[in-house]
Amino acid sequence: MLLGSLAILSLSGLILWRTKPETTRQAAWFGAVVPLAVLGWIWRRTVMLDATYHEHWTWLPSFNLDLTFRLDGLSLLFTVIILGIGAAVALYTHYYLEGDPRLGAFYLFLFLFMASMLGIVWSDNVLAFFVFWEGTTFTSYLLIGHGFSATASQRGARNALIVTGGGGLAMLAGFLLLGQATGDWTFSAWNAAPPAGADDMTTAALVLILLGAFTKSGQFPFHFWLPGAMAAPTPASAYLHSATMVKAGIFLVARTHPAFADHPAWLPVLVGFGAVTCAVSGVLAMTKTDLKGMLAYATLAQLGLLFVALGQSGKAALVAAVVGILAHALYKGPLFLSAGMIEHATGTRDIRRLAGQARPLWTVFIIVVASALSLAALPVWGGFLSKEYLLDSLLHLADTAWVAWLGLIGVLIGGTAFAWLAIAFVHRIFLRREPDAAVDRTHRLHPPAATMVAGPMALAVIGFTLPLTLDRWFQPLVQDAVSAISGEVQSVHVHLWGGFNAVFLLSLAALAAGTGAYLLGFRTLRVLHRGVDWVPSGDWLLERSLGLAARGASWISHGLQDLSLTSHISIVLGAAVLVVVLVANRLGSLFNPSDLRIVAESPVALWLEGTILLLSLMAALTVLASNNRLAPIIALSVVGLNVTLFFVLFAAPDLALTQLLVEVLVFVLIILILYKLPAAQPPRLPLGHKIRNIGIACVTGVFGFVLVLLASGRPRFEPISGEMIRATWLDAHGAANVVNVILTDFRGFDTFGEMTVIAIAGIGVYSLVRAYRFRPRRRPASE
Amino acid sequence: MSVLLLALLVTLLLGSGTYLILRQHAMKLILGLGLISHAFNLIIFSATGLTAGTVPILPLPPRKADEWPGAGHFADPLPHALILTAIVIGFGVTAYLIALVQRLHEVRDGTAYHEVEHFSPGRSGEPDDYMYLEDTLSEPRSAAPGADATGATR
Repeated sequence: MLLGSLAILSLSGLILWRTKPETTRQAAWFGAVVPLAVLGWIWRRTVMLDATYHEHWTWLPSFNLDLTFRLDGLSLLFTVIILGIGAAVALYTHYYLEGDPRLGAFYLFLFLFMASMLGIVWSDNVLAFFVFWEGTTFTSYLLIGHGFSATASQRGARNALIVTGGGGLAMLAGFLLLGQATGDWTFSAWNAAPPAGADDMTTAALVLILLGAFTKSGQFPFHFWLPGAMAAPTPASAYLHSATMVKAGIFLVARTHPAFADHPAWLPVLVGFGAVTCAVSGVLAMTKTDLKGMLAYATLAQLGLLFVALGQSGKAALVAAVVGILAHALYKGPLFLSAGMIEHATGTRDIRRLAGQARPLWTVFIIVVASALSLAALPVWGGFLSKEYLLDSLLHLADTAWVAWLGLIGVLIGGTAFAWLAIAFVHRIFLRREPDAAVDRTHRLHPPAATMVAGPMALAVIGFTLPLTLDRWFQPLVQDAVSAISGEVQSVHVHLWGGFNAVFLLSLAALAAGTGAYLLGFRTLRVLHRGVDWVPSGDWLLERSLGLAARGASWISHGLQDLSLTSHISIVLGAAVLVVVLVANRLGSLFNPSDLRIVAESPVALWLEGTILLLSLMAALTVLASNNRLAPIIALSVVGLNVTLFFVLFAAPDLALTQLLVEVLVFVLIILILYKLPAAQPPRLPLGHKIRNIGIACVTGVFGFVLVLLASGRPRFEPISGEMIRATWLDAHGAANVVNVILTDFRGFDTFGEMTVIAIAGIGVYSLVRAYRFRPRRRPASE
Repeated sequence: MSVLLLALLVTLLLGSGTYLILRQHAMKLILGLGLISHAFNLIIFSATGLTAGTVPILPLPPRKADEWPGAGHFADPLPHALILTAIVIGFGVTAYLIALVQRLHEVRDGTAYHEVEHFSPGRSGEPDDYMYLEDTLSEPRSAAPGADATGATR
């Protein structure tokens, strides 16, 4: 069923791509209905089960790589988020990218991304997990770079790819270490029998796996790629960068929680980095003016909170994480989509240029207010509940672990920033009368279509009513997810109200601090701006090392390749000749002067061979000497056909067939190109150059002569092909052609390499002939 | 065939191929590479010792172990497999070269497209210049291809 779901989603992507969705409205609804239908199917099939749903498909067992799917509470929680928000985003996208001719491609990548993301949350096999993980990396790269002629898009996409791709490789290394050590390749096996103790191997694996999670979820100091990726179209930002992809790191940590939670490094690393990220990103969010930039940093801060929660093992902390994941998806998604609608309607995303939109954009206003309640952590909405449980757990932990204080500070700074952001969104965009900066009056305001509002509105309503439904409809989901994270069955009931205690007072303090900071306005901002300039970021390191790599590559290629073609060829041939001269001494004993005699099995054979030889010689001379345009091309084909005949004579039918085919193809290709090119004679060379060239040619020729004599000497050892023929005779079922068996079996990897070369050549030809052109000397536009 | 005759043929192919490559002309470069590919395929083939054997295709299964005629009965299939790979790769390289010549013709606006002697990365180009691609599909085909090579316009 799960594999089928992935297939259905990928197929729907292909259908949407091929049917030109920009021309029809039905595409939007199709895109929304498919994920919901899949969700309904999975829900019906799994909720009835008492046990965890399993699915197993053998893929590459010799690499320990199987498609083992496992759908426990945690996976189901993410499945609901991925498919539910996916449906809303698919509906929304159609109106956001209205009339974009590449909408189909966007849908295709979106659905492929959805499938990869589901693969992540379902995979039990760690290697399959990695495959899907990188699947999201690549599809998100394509989604971010959608507006692909814009430099900012390209740069954002590139940085995201490098950071998350690199982190993914670190994670793979961690998986391999742990897999080698334990002999198990599934999460469930690791969780059932946690790697005992804190030996070096486990610690190294843990650090590498966490590196993968931190890069994917943009934790400090990798927090720069996510805001950079905001150049993506808004639906992609809303989907990838709030609800799903950045949560993959959270998911990884939650999934491996039972295996690692007792490790001494787990708690300090997760709580420490989470708290720092939360504080730094919260402050950065307040200093931004771009709506999406603010939301991006707020997302990072929220992810930091979730890491703080998952670093602990108490039930309260895990409830905080699960409720936090759910609430965040329900409020950040609509906020992102609203930012897109505001931009669509007013032509700007700069909060300084927005004011008084409450009446014209009243639908968006409702969505933003409903979501901001949860963002600001007002009692009793989702954000508040999550923070309440988290603070409670941290206060208990503070007796035993100093890092909990760091966590508390981080959470409070984050909470302050969230309150500030919520007020800023509602007040500055919608309520205040006058904007800070001049407004572009040329853009005609148009409210979003009802269908565009439908998706985010549905999410906002679910988020708004969450306090009512959390302990009824969502209770089994939350309980199962908490149980899956903790590794043992838990009974969970979320309380909306914990009473007037220290925790509640801390929440109020954060809320008050946020409100106060907002009332102080620019004075706060000036202080903050001065502070954030000092925050270190991996950004400059990445840019610097990329620049260094490019400079180094250019230095090397100038140093090694800034030669003329003649010098290049002389060096290559010289090296080849040198090798032969060096080994000729050892191989010399192979040579037998009697080979030089002209022997033939029969007069007919001699006659045939002589003809072939003579024809080839004449044709080669024609290729060499003719200044005509067509003659040398035909002569080259004559050489090729003679070589083909030679293969026929010496019992090599596969070679003859291939050579014939290639000869025809090359001939056609050259003629086709030649037809388009004007005639041009080669330059006249000075006499010195001519003599030098003839010299090089003669040396090469003699080199070939010696090589043939040496190679054809009597063999001193049994050829290895004898064993190949024998094995084929005995073991190959159904195969008769030994050459084929060698290509596909004995030397299969050679053939794989050959296919790779052909694929690269094909891509090269395609890009040369068709689409792209390097644009030299253009500075990237400033970001 | 005598080894001597084959060696002579290889000598001529290699020599003329090399000379053609050095002629500083795109089309002659392609022709020269074609000759050299043939020469090297023949060199590899000569490693079989040029003894005639049966085509290395066995009778269809079921084959009985006691009917095994011995490996010497067949022509050595290993060089065949290697040359097969070489032919296909040679074709890939040739196709790429042909596309490159066509591209040079386009970029250089039909002039001096055949000049391949000095072919080095631009010395003054910033490394970043090579990292950004431009979509030409959206532009009219005639948008002054020559201008791109010099960077004079836009």
